Amino acid sequence: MPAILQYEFMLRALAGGTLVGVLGPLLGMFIVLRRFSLIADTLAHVALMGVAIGLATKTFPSAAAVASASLGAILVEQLRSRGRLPGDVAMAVVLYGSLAFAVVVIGIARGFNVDLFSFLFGSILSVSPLDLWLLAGLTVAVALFVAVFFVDLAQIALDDDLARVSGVRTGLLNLALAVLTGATISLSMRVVGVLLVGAMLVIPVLVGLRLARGLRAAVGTAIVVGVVSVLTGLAFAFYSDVSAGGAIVLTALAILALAHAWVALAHAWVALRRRDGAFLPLGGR
Amino acid sequence: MIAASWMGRPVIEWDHVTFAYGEVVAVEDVSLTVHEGEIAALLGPNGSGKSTLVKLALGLLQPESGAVRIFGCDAAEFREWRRVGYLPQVVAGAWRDFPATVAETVAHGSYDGFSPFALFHRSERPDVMEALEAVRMSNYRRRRLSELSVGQQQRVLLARALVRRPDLLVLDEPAAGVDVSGEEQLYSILRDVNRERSITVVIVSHDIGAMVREASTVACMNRTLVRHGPPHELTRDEISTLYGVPVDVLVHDALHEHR
Repeated sequence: MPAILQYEFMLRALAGGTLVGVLGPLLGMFIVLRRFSLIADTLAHVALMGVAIGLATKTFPSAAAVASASLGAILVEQLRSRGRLPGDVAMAVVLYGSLAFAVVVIGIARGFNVDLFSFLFGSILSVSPLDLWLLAGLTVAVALFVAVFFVDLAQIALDDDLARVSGVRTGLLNLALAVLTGATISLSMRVVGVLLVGAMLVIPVLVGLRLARGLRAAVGTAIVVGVVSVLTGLAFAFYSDVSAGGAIVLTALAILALAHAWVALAHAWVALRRRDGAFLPLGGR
Repeated sequence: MIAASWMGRPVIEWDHVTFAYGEVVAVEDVSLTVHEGEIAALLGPNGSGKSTLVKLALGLLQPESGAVRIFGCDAAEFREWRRVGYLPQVVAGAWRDFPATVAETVAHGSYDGFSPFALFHRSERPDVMEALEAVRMSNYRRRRLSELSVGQQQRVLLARALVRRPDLLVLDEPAAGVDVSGEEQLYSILRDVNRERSITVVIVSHDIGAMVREASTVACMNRTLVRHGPPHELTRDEISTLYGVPVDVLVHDALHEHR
């Protein structure tokens, strides 16, 4: 048996990481298509505020993170949908507000400690059995949500007004999407860390958008990329003792670069064939 | 001229409607009715409140005062969205990365409300193909939406609206960003569905020439309703007043030529 599978903490990290690799792109697709990518980073900082409060008051930090990220998600969504603030400004206000609050709480609680550090940068040692169960439950909930409301989410991604005129309950769905995103980020940051968790919702999705034909195929591609990135990154972290979160995100970025290069090569190939006047079996473009 | 008995039942009624975005009054005391079977044009310069009027009818905005009814029902209470096909303005580049295929986009349009198993349905169904045929886009069914021009995306959205078998089509600036041949193709499709499927059509546009040619009634908007009636009764002076610049009748003739 390879060394990586001989440690229980590593098995937990691999299982948790795989779930993060599925969860992130599943929600991320509909967030990226709505041009709302920064919500992930915003909610990560709101979750950090929850962690800070949880650590300072010696309550369960993960629960505090989920609670505050969900509330943050509702706040951003309300500010945006009521037209009080444009989406990006609403996110900026909530991001800096909660980050400032977190910094103050950390200061009062007498500075950084190891626990907080593990939340910021992720730690493969820190995935507890409880974290794993929570992640598994959330994955089931999110998968069901996306499967059941797939068409409605696709319509919202296409155009919000159009979705409303098609009878989609956009307000409720956007809210549900935001709350699930908050929960996903709060639970994923044990593995990837607050600072990088947003990348798991965005980068695999970009690969899907680059390579896939069809929305379902794009979601599938993004999930595969998410899981492969997490597993590769964790293996790197284990064998070369680098930060897991960093290794995971760098792997995802490398796959994104490969995807872009592949598409560019394919276009160049088609152009070359066309210049030679060769027969194009796919009908060409 | 308004109280003609041959007219169909009212489809959209704006009844003394006023709406403001904050301080800016976009629509002021507009009363207007679109009847069954019409191709009704809402004509006016940019910022004249015509898109706002349409959004009020679709329940996307709530009027400050007055009443808006669609198929006889208060717009805020209306739930029979299957009867309505809507084409929002297509913004160039808005779907630059959108991965859904043309067939997927049209198929999604046929569901309304809660459809839990739609994820597992095939996209290229007979009704989807028929709608794509009607807008002459069936060859593009496997293309990604992001690979199409604005005019082609516009036609996909039209197919998406038609697959719902609507009684009413509402189009917001359908010819914006579309070249002359694309525009002519779009209007010819609209004429067909209006005649053959007796779908009422409402077009928001600032293109005087096209609207005079295509519409059966023209409502000229400039925050208030300036005039409403058949297009041939529009005078040059009225158009000039509406746009605030002198408009020459020759402009009309020139536009007629490319038909």
